[in-house]
Amino acid sequence: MILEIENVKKTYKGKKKVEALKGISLSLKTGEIFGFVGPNGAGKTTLIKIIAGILRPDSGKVSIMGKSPFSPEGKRLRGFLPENPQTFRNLTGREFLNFCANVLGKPKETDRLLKMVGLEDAADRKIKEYSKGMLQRIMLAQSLIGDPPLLVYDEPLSGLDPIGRKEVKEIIKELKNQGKTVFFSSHIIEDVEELVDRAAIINEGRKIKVLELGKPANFTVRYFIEGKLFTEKVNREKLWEKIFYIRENGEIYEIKPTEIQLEELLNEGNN
Amino acid sequence: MKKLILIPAILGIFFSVDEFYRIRREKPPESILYVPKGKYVKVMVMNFREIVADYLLARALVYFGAHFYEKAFPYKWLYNLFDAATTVDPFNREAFMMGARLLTVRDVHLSIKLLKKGMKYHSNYWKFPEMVGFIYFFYLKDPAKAAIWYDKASRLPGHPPYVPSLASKFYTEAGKYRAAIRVLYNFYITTKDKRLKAIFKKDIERLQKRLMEVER
Amino acid sequence: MKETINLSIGIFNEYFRDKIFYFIFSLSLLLLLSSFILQEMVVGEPGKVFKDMALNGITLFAVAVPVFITSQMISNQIQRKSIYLILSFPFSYSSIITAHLLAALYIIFISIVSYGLLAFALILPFEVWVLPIIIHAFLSLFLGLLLSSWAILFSSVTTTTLSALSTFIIYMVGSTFQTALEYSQQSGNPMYFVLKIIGYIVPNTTVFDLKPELIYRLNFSKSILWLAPIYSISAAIVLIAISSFILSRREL
Repeated sequence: MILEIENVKKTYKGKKKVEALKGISLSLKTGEIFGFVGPNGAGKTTLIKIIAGILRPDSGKVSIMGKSPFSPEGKRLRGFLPENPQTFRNLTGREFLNFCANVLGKPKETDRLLKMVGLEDAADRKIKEYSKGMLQRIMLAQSLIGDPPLLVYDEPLSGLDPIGRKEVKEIIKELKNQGKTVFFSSHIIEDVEELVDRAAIINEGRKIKVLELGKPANFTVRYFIEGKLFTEKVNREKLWEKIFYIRENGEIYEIKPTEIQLEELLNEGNN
Repeated sequence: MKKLILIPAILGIFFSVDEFYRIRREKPPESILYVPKGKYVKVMVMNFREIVADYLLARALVYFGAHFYEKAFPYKWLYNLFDAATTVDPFNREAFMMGARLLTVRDVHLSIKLLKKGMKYHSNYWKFPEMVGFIYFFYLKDPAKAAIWYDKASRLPGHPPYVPSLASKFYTEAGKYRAAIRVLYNFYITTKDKRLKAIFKKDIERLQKRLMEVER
Repeated sequence: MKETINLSIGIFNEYFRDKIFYFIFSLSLLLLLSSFILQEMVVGEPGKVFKDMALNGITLFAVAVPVFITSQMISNQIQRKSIYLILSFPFSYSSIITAHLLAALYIIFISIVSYGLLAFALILPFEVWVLPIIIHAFLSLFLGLLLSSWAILFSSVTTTTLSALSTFIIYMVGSTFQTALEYSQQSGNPMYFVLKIIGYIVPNTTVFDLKPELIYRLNFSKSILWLAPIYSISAAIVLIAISSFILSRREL
């Protein structure tokens, strides 16, 4: 287990007490992409900040390969991408990556990282001139300095245009191929579906369920029998049975995996 | 371990602050800092010239009082202050007179300079040339020049009778009898006071006698 | 320590490129221009205006950089949320605060040195005036360190504007403190002892100010030259500790 979270609780003590996390437990296997899904205000960012070593939990235990995420050793084992990242505005992309490598005391692999995130051409422009997608990508590059085994990304796809999303998704897929473990949060379930091996659904500071998303669970099958169009939801185990049945009696029009609606899952959890 | 550094730091603060309390520092000499040049002040103060001029005058007087007993009295500053005050408000005659009187303490030439500046603005005021004449006579022991300035004063309206009589006295001392007689004669024909006319007539006759003796 | 210095160089680069250069340049130009205008507008010992402007300008940089730049460092990053990146680096809070303070110190150093050189060149026609400028620059650097430490403390507690204001107020309080102390001592006021105790907390900025002594060539206690750095560095260490404690307790 590369990351273990045990019964983590966190309450913000401001003017109004907010119970952000009400006891969450998770564990990540090496080499998987883990999605962390929930509506806004579910406590996703709070948990990510705790894993990144920025915020201390009130109780519970977090360990990255047995190290505390707050210790320098623990921090060196993970790369981090904050939500809506902002950083030094007056450094160029190349200077920024060199600076991060310097600060972390890691070898400089600036050119490799710039190539990986596709920012070679913009490397010598100041970061304040970057578009949002470019900023996201330079910050992704920053998280990869020193080759950490665990990557923790907070909403890496939010606020990007479709092209930007596609680029970031490609990078995350590439990371999986390299054998990295990626833990990322999102409030959009389609993104998670496309990328992850497993996902945890969280709402109101509680984990609702963990889904295996490698294979879709349900399919929607539409078919013609005697000129009439039927639409039916079919479980994966019974899919082939159904297909044979339709072939004998009529014509298949469409088979597609049923989209998982976040609302549905949340409702399921609440029930 | 890192926290241990706080102990010497706190001790350092206490030690240095205690030492600061002990250190006595010399006071810098009370200084006038900067005296603005009058022409710039005049532009800057717009319609409040009189007030600013009075302020500068007051500053000059305080400065004079504070430094009067010092050996190295920087009177140049004093002149600059009066100069500024009178440039800003040149219609305040008293400022010129006051400055001239105070400046005589150290440098009478600066007094004369100030009075000459005053004459540019107040060409009909007899007190300025009279004061210059007095300075030449009393401080510089130069009756010839004193006479010329008293003479000038005696041609301006409002002067008291002692002005022409002093002018003639200084001319006489300098040996210029004709000029001495002319000054007295001018007063004799312009005044309407019979008693004065009688006195001046006697003086003129006495001087004419002296003149004849000298010329013979 | 090496990593803290690396971090501080990055922060310095970031801030120095962010109009700070123009800030220093325009402020120097303004001071220069005003010393020429003043020289023209007033009557006095030639060169005195330039001397005054040289020393006062150096002090101005030592005060303006903490008030306008250092006081923004942490609070601005919290507001822009760019602090998360720095917090996610494997550093302690005290190294992060120290790095920011060092970056501020570099800016103060560069501005003081460049302005000092300029002032030296201006005074050169009247007099070769080196040692007073160096002594004053040296003390001003430590004044800058002291005020910057306060600025960082305010910056990690409150917002950008408030921390700039608080830094300025603490400077004002510090610069009037000595006068208040002397008055209360003369009048035998019981406030004197209270003020003396407050003096351990409030930065006494008058000790960094040897301007009258330097300009009028008066004697001054040479021990100020090593006491002021001790005071400044000790206070900076304590303030760094307080700021990092506060920052670690803040729920960002």
